[in-house]
Amino acid sequence: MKSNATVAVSYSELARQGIHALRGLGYSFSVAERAAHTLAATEAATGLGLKCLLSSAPQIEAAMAKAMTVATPAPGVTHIDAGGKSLLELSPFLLDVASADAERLGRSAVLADNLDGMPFVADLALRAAAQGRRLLVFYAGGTALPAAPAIFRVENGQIHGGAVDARPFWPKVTHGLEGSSLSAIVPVLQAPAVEERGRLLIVAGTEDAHVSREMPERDAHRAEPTWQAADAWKPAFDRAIQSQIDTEPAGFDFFYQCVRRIWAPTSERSRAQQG
Amino acid sequence: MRAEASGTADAALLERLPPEICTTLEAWLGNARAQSILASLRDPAEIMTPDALAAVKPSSLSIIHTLLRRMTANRWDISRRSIAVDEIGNGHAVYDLHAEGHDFSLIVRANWDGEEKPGRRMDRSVDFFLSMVSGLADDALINRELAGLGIPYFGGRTDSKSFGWSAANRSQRSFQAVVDTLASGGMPDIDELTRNGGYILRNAGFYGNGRAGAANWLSIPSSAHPFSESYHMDLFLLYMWREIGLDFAEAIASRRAGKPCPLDPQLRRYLGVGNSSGLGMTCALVRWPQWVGTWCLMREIALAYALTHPCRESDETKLAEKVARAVQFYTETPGPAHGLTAHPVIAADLAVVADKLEAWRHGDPASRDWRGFYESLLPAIGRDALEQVVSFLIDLHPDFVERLSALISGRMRRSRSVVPAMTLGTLKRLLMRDYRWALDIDMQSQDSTWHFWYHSEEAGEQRRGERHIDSHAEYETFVDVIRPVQACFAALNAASEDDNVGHFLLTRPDLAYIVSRIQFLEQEPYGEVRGNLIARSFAPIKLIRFLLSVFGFESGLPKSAAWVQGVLLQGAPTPDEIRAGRLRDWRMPLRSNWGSNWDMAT
Repeated sequence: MKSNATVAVSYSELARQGIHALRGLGYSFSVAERAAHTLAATEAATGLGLKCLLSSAPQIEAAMAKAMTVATPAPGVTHIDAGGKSLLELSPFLLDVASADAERLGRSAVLADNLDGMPFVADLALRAAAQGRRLLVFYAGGTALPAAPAIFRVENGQIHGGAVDARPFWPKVTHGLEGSSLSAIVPVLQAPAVEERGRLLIVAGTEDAHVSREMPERDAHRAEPTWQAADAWKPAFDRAIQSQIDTEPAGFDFFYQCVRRIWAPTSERSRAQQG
Repeated sequence: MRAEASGTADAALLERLPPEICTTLEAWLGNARAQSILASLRDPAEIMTPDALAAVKPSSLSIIHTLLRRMTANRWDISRRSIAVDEIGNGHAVYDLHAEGHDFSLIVRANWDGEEKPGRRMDRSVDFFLSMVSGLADDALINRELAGLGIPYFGGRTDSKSFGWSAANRSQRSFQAVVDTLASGGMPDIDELTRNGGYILRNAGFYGNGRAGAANWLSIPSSAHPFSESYHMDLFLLYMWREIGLDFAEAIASRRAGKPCPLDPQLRRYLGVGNSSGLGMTCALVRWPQWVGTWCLMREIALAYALTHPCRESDETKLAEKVARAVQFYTETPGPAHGLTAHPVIAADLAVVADKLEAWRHGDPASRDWRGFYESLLPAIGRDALEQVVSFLIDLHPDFVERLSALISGRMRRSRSVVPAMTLGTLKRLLMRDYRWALDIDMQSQDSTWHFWYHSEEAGEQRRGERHIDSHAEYETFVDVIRPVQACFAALNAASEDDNVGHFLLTRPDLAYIVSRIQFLEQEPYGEVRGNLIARSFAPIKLIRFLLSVFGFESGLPKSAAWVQGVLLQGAPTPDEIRAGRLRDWRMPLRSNWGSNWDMAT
């Protein structure tokens, strides 16, 4: 039901119609199919999926034509310049790379720079938890709804962590990786990064290199912004599956505007055939 | 068209079978019997073409039958709490369902504006709407849903208190005839009703699984819930439309006559519910290969079980009775005039089956086996009659069917995902093993890519356009599997076999869908329809007919190459019978038995 304040939406509706909405934004079916789940899961976990779609649609469309660059400075270490693309689009693909390398080599690091749409990181965590992955994620920045520096850990299907006060954030992360089997990522992390454009690092595998596994619990204690409280993502997601998501009308209306972009008129000739 | 190869599973098919299914069969039946069954499975190349799928007939594995068995076994209690209607047909009703420890209410609203509706999703209005809610609805929820029911595309929304909304329209000629006759103290003419389809209400769609804000399908537990099986809720609502339509017809007539005007109980039982199925069903079969793979695998296992089962005289007698009834059913029931096999052709072929069965039963008992009988039919009858016999053979083993049915929902609930650590060499080998048929199709000609599938603004669901005529081909949907397979193959040929899928998709995200599909169907030999669904020559009614058989529709009348009308639940048990736990063999109700022993015969 639609009240003045919120609209009741189901996860299934967002995941199903999300494919149309994201095709309406310009994604291929393949990308839209995965991103629709990213959108729905993020809305369920943080309440920010549709808002982020609304606020970052221009950036999403602008970045669509831009190429990513992918470098592998060492086995199991991947550095991506996302070219301003959104985590809405890249979340499952980044997790795939980290997971594949971790399965093959025991551990992996994937660093994505110049990445937008940070709230969609909740989907990455939920996917990793559902797949039984073990990983640490560090992230900060982005333009639309930028993220505070934050850490979360996924292990045994659970997600823990949140935003941190500690600064400097990336040097501290870098320090944790020095001397580890993933040290090939250290020079990349040390290079000047434009943090506000968004950076995300996944450390995945059966061991966490020298990065302290206690970091999320130890360092993540900021109360704000609340959407980055990673411990809350999975319970919120589960609640949404069992009941519903109450979302803001503006984001929901924009979502269906995108859906309608791909609706096509039926030609007389086509109509005559269908009966 | 004559039926073709008999099918004995080769090594490639055995390699693709889901391990958990093989293990389950071994646990149920022992290793030797399980291996015998698995070795008897038919080749997917033989049975997964559109032509072959169009011939599939309903069996006791069909969803309406698994639903009605469940309803009867658990004595679901359906009751009408209230009904209020005027002389025209505007009104409302509330039904309650007590099933397996759960309560539900169905809140129904009826509006009649004097116009017959085509029943498309984008129609502005419908004659009947209902909301199915969890728990027994109180007045506040009833009033809320009655006020809110509306076509979702035009703003109608609910929330997770409702499992979804269903719509139905009058088949006006029949509905009006029933009301008028009852109101004037008579009883409707069954022949006239049969000529008009055998129903008075036509299903107009279910907006469930989260549509318009309704509850997620995933919120229903996967077991110990009356609607845990896929499509049981959808078809239960069809069952209820049958009851609701007849209840409203009686109520309107009673209102006009000023006294109760009940329908003859036999007539109530004979009438079913109508349904029109279009192109969206074809798309669903592509979208959900785990459904197709599960339905077909279970059917093939059930057939293989029957073919490897010892002959028993009782089974032979039952089969002979079923074939005889089917000959009569196909003779007297209106069938396709084009696009699908005509009923007289099936009836004639089944008469051949009856003769061959009779001769076979008089042969040497020691050398008789079901496989031999089945193979003797192959050169003698068409595919439709053969698949009808397949369904009858399956139906001879209700206990085994019940066990198989319990496996269906879990397999349908699986979801496709990328397996990122798989090497490209492995992926390529899977593609070449499982999609050789797709690689072999020439997609360069104009005719082979003639159509594209798109989301129609007018219809509210997928439709087909002509690529060289219609606009919006850039929004083509997922229905074509062949070109993505070929594109993936080309990309894999240019990549290192040692790379993994995760890195491959980072640079080719456009292939994620087809890669995950190939991976997902690695052990799903019957998951893919082996045909070019965008070819100029493809007739969607073939796949629509297949899905209708999966649901349990015994006949369907093609209205075009892409639209099939059908009737479901003719002869099905009434709520009273279900409450009493009585399940008749209600399949193929025969008009010719009406007025004599129809009740016994059906």
